[in-house]
Amino acid sequence: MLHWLRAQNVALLTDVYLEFEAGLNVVTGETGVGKSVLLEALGLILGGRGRTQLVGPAADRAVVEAGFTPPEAEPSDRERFRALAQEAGFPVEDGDLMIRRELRLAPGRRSISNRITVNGTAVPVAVLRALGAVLAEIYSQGEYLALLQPGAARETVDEAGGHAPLRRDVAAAFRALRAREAERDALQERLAAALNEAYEAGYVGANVLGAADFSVDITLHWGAGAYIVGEETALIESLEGNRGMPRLKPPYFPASIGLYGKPTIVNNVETLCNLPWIVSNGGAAFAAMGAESSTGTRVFAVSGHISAPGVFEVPFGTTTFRDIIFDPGYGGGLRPGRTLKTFIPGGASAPWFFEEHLDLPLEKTAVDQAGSMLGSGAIVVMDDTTDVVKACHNLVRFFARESCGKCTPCREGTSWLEKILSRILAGQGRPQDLDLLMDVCDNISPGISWPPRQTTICPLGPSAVSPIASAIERFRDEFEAYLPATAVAVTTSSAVAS
Amino acid sequence: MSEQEAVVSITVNGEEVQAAPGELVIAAAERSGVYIPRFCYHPRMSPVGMCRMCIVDIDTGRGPALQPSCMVEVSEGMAVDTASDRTRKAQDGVLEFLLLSHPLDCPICDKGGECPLQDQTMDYGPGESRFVEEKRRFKKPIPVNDLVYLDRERCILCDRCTRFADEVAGDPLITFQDRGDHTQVNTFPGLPFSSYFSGNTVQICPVGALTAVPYRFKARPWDLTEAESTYPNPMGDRVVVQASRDQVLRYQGVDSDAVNWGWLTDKDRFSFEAAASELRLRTPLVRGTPLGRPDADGDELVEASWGQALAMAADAIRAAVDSKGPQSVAVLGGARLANEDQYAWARLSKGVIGTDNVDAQLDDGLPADAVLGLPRATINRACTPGGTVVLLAPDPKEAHGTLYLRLRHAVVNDGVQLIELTPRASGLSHLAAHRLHHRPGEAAAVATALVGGDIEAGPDGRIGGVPAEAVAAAAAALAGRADQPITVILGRPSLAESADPTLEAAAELARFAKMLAAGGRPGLAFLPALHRGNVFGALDMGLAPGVLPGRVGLDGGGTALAEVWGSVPAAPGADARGILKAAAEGRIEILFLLGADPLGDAPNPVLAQEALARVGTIIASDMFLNSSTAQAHIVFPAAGFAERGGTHTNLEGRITRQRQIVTPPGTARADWAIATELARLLGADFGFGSPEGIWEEITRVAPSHRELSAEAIAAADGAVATGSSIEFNPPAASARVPHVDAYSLRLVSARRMFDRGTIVQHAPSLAGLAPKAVLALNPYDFQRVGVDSGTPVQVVSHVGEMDVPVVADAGVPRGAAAFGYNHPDLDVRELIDPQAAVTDVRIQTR
Repeated sequence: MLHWLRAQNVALLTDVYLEFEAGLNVVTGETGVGKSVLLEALGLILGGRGRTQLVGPAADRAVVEAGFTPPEAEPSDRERFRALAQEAGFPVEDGDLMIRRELRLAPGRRSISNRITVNGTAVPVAVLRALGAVLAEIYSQGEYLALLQPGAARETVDEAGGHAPLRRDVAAAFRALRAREAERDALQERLAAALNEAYEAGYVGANVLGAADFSVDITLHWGAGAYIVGEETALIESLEGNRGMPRLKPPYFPASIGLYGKPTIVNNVETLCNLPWIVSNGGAAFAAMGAESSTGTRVFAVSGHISAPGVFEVPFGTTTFRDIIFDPGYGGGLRPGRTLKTFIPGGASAPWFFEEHLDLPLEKTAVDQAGSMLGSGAIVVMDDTTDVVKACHNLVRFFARESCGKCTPCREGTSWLEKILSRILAGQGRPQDLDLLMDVCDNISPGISWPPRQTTICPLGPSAVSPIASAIERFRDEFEAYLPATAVAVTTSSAVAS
Repeated sequence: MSEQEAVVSITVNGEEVQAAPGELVIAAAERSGVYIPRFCYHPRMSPVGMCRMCIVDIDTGRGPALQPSCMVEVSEGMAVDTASDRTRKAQDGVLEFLLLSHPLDCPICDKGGECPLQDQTMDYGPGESRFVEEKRRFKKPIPVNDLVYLDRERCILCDRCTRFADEVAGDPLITFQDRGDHTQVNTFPGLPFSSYFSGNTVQICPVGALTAVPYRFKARPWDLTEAESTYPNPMGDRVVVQASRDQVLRYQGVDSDAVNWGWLTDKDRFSFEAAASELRLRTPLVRGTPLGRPDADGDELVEASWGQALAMAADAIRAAVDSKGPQSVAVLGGARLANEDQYAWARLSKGVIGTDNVDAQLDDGLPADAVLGLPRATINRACTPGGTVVLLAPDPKEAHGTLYLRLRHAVVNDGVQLIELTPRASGLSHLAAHRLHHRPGEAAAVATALVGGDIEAGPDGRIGGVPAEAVAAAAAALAGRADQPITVILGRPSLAESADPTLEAAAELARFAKMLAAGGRPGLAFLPALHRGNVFGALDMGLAPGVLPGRVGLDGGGTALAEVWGSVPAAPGADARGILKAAAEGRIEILFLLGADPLGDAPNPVLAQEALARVGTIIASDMFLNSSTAQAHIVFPAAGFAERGGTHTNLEGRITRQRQIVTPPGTARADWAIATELARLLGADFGFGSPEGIWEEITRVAPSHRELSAEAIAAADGAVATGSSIEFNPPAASARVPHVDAYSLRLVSARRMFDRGTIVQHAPSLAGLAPKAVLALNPYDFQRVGVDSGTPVQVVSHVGEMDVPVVADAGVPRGAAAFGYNHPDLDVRELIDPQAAVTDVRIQTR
């Protein structure tokens, strides 16, 4: 129970001393006389946040003191109080408890420091907060004590606003992000450690392996994973610290005007990985592998609806798609009972291949002539359970999100394509939407031919065209099936009329 | 294009076109009369090929391919087809894409009627959108700074404003954010687009995404009447003045190749607000009683008729000349008038009254001979690729904004090397090849060493406070490029020191110029950079002691001038300081103030107050009452820019036309008319009745202007007056500056762009942009003071003291303290000793 309360230089109160009797005590007064300041003072005693404004204008410190009898009614409160006293180390004599809190202003009145004693023993403010929970309950504007805790306050506001699920989602996304960052950090560490080892071994750095005339440094530069930064000029922009946006060729061919305006060779890791073998075994040995027009080996990543997805290095040009998808040594075929619907031969931007292309060799000319490309070597297999409209939407959404936003046809076109497909999937397609899709594609990639022409700066825009053109050409009926019945009826009747 | 230049032949739509090597297809086509639609392309910025609107079929021998014509340079035999079906379809497609999320709120958009997107939508695209999805939406509008609003959903992401901020202004504070179709232009969080040049982004925005607060919703383009004119600043920026219902509503920059390239500073662009101020003078004022009755002994200014005011002025002048001679009449100001106004006032004061006590500057510039007596450069000469610029002037970014843009372009893009010979850093310092930031007052020693003179470094290894090796490196760089044009930007780098050290430094450079000229090299020339609108016109028109119109001395006027004028003063009169001193000593009876405010502007306000208090009759001609004209006895309301015609002279001596497009407020008149009328009352008939008539007389009597017929100056870039019979007379004795003691800092003071000046303070949108005064110290010195940034300290000089917040600024050299000259809140002149070569201050903390 609270017996007395004294507040000195708390806001507008210069010195107030109040005694309380058992039972109901009523403090009354006009508005503005300072009743709520008394409550603030009590709040300070109970562990509330000290603010500089609480110190009276003429003073350099505010002091609040209060006398309590420790809780007796509730056994649990009694227990907690005893435990607290023991932990905080303040004496409890004749059952009385005197709490004193002083707020001292730093010069300049910008910050405050606390001096807190409980029965003469200095304690941190956390002790007051814990004591507050057992000594008093303030019923007034809300759950006063609970709201002193930032977490509790946040929770209350979120609950009230109906944002609890959103908060949980954000928290989960944040944890996921952190996890991925940790994963990335580990990979970066590993790569950096490997590079350090290479330096120590003399493979990299000044005078490689003692060579008087050959030195090479390797700088690791961490990107943040934008797809467009795979485009060589966008990569160079990113390395220079700019937004990852492609440069226009001409004039920015990296071999003549590259990083910092200097001639630059951009190679991907796969190419570099081939070098040690070629250096060790000679170019002729490398060229002896594979087909005449596509020599050496290449790495293919086979994924999708397949029994044994994986990354495979195969002789270039002699292996066929059928081999790499169905051979038990590679992809191992489709899942039992499934048939092949389509597959992407070389990354998300490549036009789709079908059953009839399976016996094509993994060879540049043959694939080009068949109207697609080996590109990144990422083969994605789709079986008969695939909803091609959704697959198409998924790919186009990817390109729309990865568009850097620099040039108009890609920035606006890819997201328009995505929106139309979203609308079709939502059952709100219109008969003219399929032609519209194709015409938008045509405005990004005139003629929708292969290799693609483009109105854009880089090939990202035309990349979004490939899945749509492939899917609509082959599976137009599946798109039409998404159109509402009325829309289809209109098509039919107009067809009849014509 | 001259015959000698290499020529590339291409065909555009089958027609043969001659292009310059390196020219872009879009520019070559436009020159040949084929306009290729575009949004992102801007001839004054590097091409980015973003909008894709200018995509056309280009065939370089490998078959036609769609290529952005703003990125492709012409090559021999190239065939361009801007009308092929494929081109047409691509352009239609791009336009449709651009309009997908555009709100089409043209009826409430400021750009409506002058909008490239609107215009090209009439010519390209499907006419009706096939886009039925939800458009992108953004909060609208958001302020990117105090003057410019951004409606992001109107934006077509052409990169013009962001490129301008980065490439042209060097203030990359607006940028693309997010990506894909979420890409938007925005400022960085908490960092506004604080640029002196932000208004240019509004002008070059090809849609209504960026709008200027002073113009928003004020007019529709089709209601505007317009005239091309010259903004009255020392650069002579070319502008289009646009008005509606007899009120100026907008200035737009005009791309003059020789001058401003289409750019304007925000200060100039939005200054039109001041012309419409309620506080403009509308009728003549004379001394009178509180009831408004004219009375020579009255304490108030009361309205009078022109007849009354002119008669009173003429009577006072006649009485003064009769009793105390023509030397008792003095004229201050006139630097903001048009050339014709200046000529009329010069003829009135020097030809009719017979006084040479005439000065357009207020002891805050350089003497006429330093401008007219040194080899003169043009802006384009200063920007010659591979040349050298020596900055011996205040920060161009603050003082001459568009000159800063031109110099910045030259340094960044054209390999011009910049050598700073200034007492503190400027807005160009980070681009300067050599920064010789000397101790205030010691420019001359550094200049001597810079041109190879024999100067011994002090015991600290420094010359004028600059490390000797830094000076030597700059000297080597200057000598190394001496076969290329060298241009000295010459002004008053600091008003806390006298003009002498700068003039001595100029003399050193002038000696070097003579040496180079003797060697047959392009040599060294000066581009003077003084304060006040038409100060260079004033010097050419004779509004300075000892000179007459046409860059001649009092004796060298030639017969033409003497014949027309009748007589000219025999001996040189006093400059502004001398005039104020004479007035304070009671020797001046009549003081004309032509748009001048010596109390507010002259470096010595104490002297100015003593002077104004003792002058018999102060006669002012001004647009506003200011602290000085409030003490006048007779005030004539003057017409301002765009309210009168005439011509303007810029820092190169380039003369271009100004046009009247609105009527002056009330009965305000052009200054030439006021001078002519006064002359008539004093018995002299000038014989001209229009600015054109005056110009005709100028070309007859002013030697340097003889070739400059009205037709010549009506050309796009006007015409540059050349030749001068004035000789530069640098100060005789080298001014010795005392050592700075260990407890003191030497004061540097220069004007900021936004200040307490008349125009800024009467333009509501600009008035609030003037920064509050601070004392800036080098971080090392700042640490010694031992207080937090922004803490007020007491600054004490031996003439005054004041409390001012102190901040750290690495652009201020150690041992110096920088204080803006013209802040609205604190007046640095209270600290400056106008008699001394330099002023030292001490800082006291409490």
